[in-house]
Amino acid sequence: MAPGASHKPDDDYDYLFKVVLIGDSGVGKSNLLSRFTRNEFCLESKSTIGVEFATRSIQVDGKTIKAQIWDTAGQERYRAITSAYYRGAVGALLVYDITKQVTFENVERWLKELRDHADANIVIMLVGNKSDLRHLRSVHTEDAQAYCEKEHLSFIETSALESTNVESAFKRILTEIYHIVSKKALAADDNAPTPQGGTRIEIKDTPAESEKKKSGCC
Amino acid sequence: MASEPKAGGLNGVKNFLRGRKFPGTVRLSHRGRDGSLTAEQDAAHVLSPNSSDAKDASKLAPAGSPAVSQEASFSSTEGGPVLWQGAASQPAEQPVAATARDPAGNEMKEGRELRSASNTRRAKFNKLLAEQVVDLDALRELCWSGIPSDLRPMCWRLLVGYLPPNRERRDAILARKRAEYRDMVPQWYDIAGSSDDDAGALRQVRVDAPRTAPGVACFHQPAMQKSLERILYLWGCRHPASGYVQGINDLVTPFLAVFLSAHLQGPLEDWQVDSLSEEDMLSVEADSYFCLSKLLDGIQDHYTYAQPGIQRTVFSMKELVRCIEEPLSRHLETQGLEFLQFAFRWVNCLLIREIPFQAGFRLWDTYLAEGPKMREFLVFVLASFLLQWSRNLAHMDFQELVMFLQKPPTGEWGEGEVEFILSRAYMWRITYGDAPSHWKQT
Repeated sequence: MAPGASHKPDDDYDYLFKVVLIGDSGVGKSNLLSRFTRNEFCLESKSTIGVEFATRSIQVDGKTIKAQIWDTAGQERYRAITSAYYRGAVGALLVYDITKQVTFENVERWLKELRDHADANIVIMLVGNKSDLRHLRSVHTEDAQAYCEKEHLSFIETSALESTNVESAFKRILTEIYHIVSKKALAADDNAPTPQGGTRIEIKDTPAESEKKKSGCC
Repeated sequence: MASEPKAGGLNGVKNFLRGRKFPGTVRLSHRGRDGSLTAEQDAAHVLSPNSSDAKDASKLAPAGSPAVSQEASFSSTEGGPVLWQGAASQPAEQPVAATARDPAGNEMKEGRELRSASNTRRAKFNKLLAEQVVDLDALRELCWSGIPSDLRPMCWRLLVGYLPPNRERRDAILARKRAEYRDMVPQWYDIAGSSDDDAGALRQVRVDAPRTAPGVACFHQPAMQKSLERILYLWGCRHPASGYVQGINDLVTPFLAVFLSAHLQGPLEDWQVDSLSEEDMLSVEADSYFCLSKLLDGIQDHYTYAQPGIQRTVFSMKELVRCIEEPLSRHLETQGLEFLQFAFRWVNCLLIREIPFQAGFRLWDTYLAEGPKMREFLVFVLASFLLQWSRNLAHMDFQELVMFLQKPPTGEWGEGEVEFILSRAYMWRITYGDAPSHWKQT
């Protein structure tokens, strides 16, 4: 059973957050997504063309938060297409591969992409993936950490293969978004029990979603 | 500098994993697409086009000349596209004759009929191909409805215009093209990485070559990985307007597999590419490179900045679907579903990502037979593919729609299902014409 499949009907959520997965191709974005939403890892996954989509709900402070996650193609050619999906996103996981220095160097370009196309208040988390490949590491944790402090980003290292920190990464960013949104709601109107305005994204009812989660790899 | 690709990518991974334990499910590849039955495939079976529909289609599909027999079957349905739609989305009441899979008792008689039909077709192919100068128009017409697998290497090379119709000139041209390719390798590939741009392009190709056709073993043997890497890198160098774009790796796979089939016996799953002589492998590689180039020549704007060709095709598809099935079109719109959200990859990879690997060969028969018209025809194929599931889609909300369409249940598809999609696309082209402006006025 996928970790996200709860007894609660999937359309029964308090918050819906749109999150994008971005970063160079081959860093493991699709596997982070399949690990988080279906507890699956695929060794020979095909490259993502355009965008792919999955969801999962988690609990934060007794509230159900449904994450609608758009996984994007990493190659530069696809940016014109994928950047359209940044609109309305309240979170971004910017992924690099700890064994490939160049994917870390490109983080700067990805940040610029977000600044150009995404909401100014988007919560960004830098994710160093493939932490299981210890013997091949070329990006030091300290360097990434220092960079994140400078750029005011959250940071985590993950292994989609070993399922290390994948859950934490998504939970941390969703919780962070939740806190911002609920604080904003309080500030906006003390009487309003639920957040209003631009940060909450509504979509239609989504029954039978837990069935979908059993579907195959990638 | 260009170095050897990682030998036996999958073996490397298997070694790496040996004796280790991982949480959840760890899959080697997309088994769902390549054989072993999964729970999802059971569901897929229920949702996949009713097999009698597919038979219906193969019955209606052009058996020799697409134009003649298609028109005949079209007029026989009287109601035109509406009836066709009905036939597509509802299980046929009557079992339709003539496939080997039919469990009915008249199987043997039907088998004989099929064999004799296929003998007649083969005779037509042989006759055409034996001509001193092949009649390309006649060949297109014949190939449109499917090519016998042993004749594919010859027919595909003729259809794309890589081989000349004149027999006498073929050997010389082949030798010249293959030599040209051989010269390109040291000129481009062997010095790859000498500039930043080159290094980036090579890196991209190296990320994608191991992820090409994951379920097909021969693509992961060292010789094949090397060929893939060179073809894709060279194509990118020679087409700087777009460069290599992810998904082009998928488009070259049918050519490689079909040209290899001229050299290797037995089922594709058992092929040992490394058993080929270096010269044979280079010929396969060169032929695949040039045929890929010919295919892509007509759709280069699918891969240039912002991919305008894909956007236009998806837009045309949306308009066409609106004409064919307005209620579904409205449902998708109400749900906030954008066609680009699911059809982008369909166009980018010409639908081969969406069907089992070998069924893609049948798709290629028709695409290559369409030649320069493939681009327009693709719009009809896409609509036909989407509307295969109109009944299911009509009840789905946004999220279900996206999840379903990014992985449609085609795991069990073979040539029959592909043929159904293609023949219906053919009918719709007759009904709606080629130009999107016509659809709007319909």
